[in-house]
Amino acid sequence: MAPFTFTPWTSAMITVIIGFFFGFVLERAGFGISRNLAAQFYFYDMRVLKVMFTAIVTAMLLIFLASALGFVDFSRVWVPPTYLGPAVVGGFLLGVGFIIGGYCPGTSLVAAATFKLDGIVYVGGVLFGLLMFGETAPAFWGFFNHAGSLGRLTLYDLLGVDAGVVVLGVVLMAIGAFGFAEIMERIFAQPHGPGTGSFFSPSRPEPSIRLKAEKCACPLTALWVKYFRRAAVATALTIAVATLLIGQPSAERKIAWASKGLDQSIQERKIHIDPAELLGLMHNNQARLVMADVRRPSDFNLFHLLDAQNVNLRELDSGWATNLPPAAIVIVMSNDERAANEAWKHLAVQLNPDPQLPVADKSRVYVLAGGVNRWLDIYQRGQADSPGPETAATGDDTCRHRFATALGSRIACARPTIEKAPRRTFVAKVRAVIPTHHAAGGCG
Amino acid sequence: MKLPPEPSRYWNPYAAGIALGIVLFGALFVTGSGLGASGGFARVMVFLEACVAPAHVDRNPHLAPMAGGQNHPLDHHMVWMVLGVVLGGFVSGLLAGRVKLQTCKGPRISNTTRWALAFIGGGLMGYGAGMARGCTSGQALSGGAVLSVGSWAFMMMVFAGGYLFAYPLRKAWN
Repeated sequence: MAPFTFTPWTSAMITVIIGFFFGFVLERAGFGISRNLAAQFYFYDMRVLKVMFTAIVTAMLLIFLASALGFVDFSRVWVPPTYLGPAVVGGFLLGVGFIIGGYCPGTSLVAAATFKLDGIVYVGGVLFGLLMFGETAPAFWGFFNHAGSLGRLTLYDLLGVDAGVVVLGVVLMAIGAFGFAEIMERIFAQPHGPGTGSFFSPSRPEPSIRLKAEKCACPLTALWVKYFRRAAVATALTIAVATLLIGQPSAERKIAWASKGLDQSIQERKIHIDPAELLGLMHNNQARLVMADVRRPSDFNLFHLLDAQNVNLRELDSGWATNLPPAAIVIVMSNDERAANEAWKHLAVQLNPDPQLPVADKSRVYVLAGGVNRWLDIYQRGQADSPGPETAATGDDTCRHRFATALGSRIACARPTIEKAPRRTFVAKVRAVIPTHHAAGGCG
Repeated sequence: MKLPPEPSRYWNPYAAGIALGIVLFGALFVTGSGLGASGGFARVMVFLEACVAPAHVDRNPHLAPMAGGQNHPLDHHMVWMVLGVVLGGFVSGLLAGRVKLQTCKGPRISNTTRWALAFIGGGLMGYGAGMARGCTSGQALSGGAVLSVGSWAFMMMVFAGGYLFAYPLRKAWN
C-alpha cells in the first residue's frame, strides 16, 4: 500500500522527477514572472488563488479518495505538524515578503531558471532571510517550538468529523472563491494588462499574455473553457461526495485489508518478545520504549509494569499512536495474549510500514509473550524456566496472580533490577527502526 | 491596442491547478511527503554556513540537526526537489520561448528599485518560511491538501499579509 519506501538513490531520483514536473507546471502557470503573482493582490489577475486552490482541491480529493478505497495509508502520509504561533507569524511575514518581492521560494526558482534577474536576486534574499532566521531562532526557541504546538492535527480531527465532510466543505469553499475571483477580475480588469519590463528598456510595457485576451481571440477556446469548468466542478463534487459516503477506513477496515499479513505474523510468533528482552529494553536508556497495557483498569491498578500506560482499543484507534516519538518501540501486553494480539493489530496497521506483509524486522510494535502473567511467573515467583516467546499463552486473559492491595508499579517486579532478576536466554527480536521522516519534515 | 503575438501562452489557471494537483498527489502517493522549496533553500544556506563556520553551526540548536557534526545538510530529499524545480522551470521556459534575461517589474519603478525590493521581499519570505517551517509550497500547498490545521492558518495569514501591504506597494507593480 502506498506510500512506498525506497533506497536513498531511488528516492532522490523520484524527488528530482517530481520537482521537475512541479517546476514545469509552475512555469506553465505563469509563475515565473513576478507581476503575474503580484497581480493576485490587486485583483486583476487572480491566477495565484485559482492555481493554488485548484491544486489543493485536486490533490486533496485524490488522496482522500485513495485513502477511503484503501490504496493509500493516510497515517503514513506526511501532515505538517501544527505550530500555530509560528505558522501565524511566519505566514504573515511570508505574505508581506510576497507582495514586496513578488515571488515565493518555489516560483523564484522558476524565475531564476528562466533568467529573470529579479528572481535571481530574490533567491539570494530568501537565502539571506533563512540565514538570519537560523541565527536568531535560538532567541525565541520556546515560541518557535511550543507556541500552539499541537502535533499532527488535521481539520477533521479538530472538528471530530469524517475527513469527507471537510473535503466536501473545502470543495464548496473553493468553488465560492473561484466565483469571487472571476467577479473581482472583471471589476478590476486593467486595459493594458500586466507586462514585464525588458532588461534593456525598463519602462516599455511588454505585451499581455493573459487568458482573457486569448479567450476573446478564439471563441472556440472560450466555449471549451466553459464546458471544462462545468465538468471539473461536477467531477470534484462527485469525488467529494463519494469520499464522504465511503468514509475514511476505520481500524476494523484497515485490519481486514491487512488480515493475512497480520494473522501470519501472530501465528508465526514473529512479534512476540521474551519478558527478558522487555526487561533489557526497560533498562536501555537509548531505546524510546512505550508500553501499552491494554488490560482493564482494575487489573492495571493491582499491578503494572513501571511506566506502562493503560489504554483501551478505542484510545489506540483515536490518535494515541499519532504523536508517538518517531523512533518509539511499542510493546503491547495483556494478562495472557489474546487482548494484546488484538491491540497489536490495531497498532500495526497504524505504525508498521507494510502491515499487509508478514513482519520482517521492520515492526515498531511487539507483544509481550505470555503477558503479565508470565512476567510475574518469572520476576515475582522466580520461575526462570517459564516457556519462551515461541510458546503462546492460551489462557483466558485473566490475572492468575493475587495481590492483597492495589500496588500499581510500587513493587520490585514492576521493574526488576538486571542483576537480581532470574537469567534467561532469548533471541532478540526488537530492531531499532529508523523513522521514515525527519522531524522537520517536507519543508523548513 | 493591438498586441503583438506571444511566444507561447500560459495554461488556463484551472488546468494548471489540476496539473499541479496531480503532481502533488503523485508526490504524496508515491513518497508520502508533498512538495517543497524552502526546505531545500534552508539546507543550501546551512551548507554554506557550515563551510565557513562549522563550530558555530554545531552550537546552534536550529542548525545543528541539519549540519552539526557528521550531518550533511545536502543529504535531504528537499535539496533534490530544488534541483528538479530548476530543471523543470528551465525546460518549460525554453520550450515556451520565455527564457530571457530580463527584470520583471511594474512600469513605474527602475530595475534597481525592483532588485532592492526583490531582495527585501525574499529576505522576509526566507525569514517567514524558517519561522513557519515551510513556504507556500510545503505548508500552504502540501499541508493544505492534507488538511493540516497549521497549514490552513498559515495560508490565511499569507493572504492577509499580502493584501494588507498591497495598497502601499501599488506603485511597484502597477
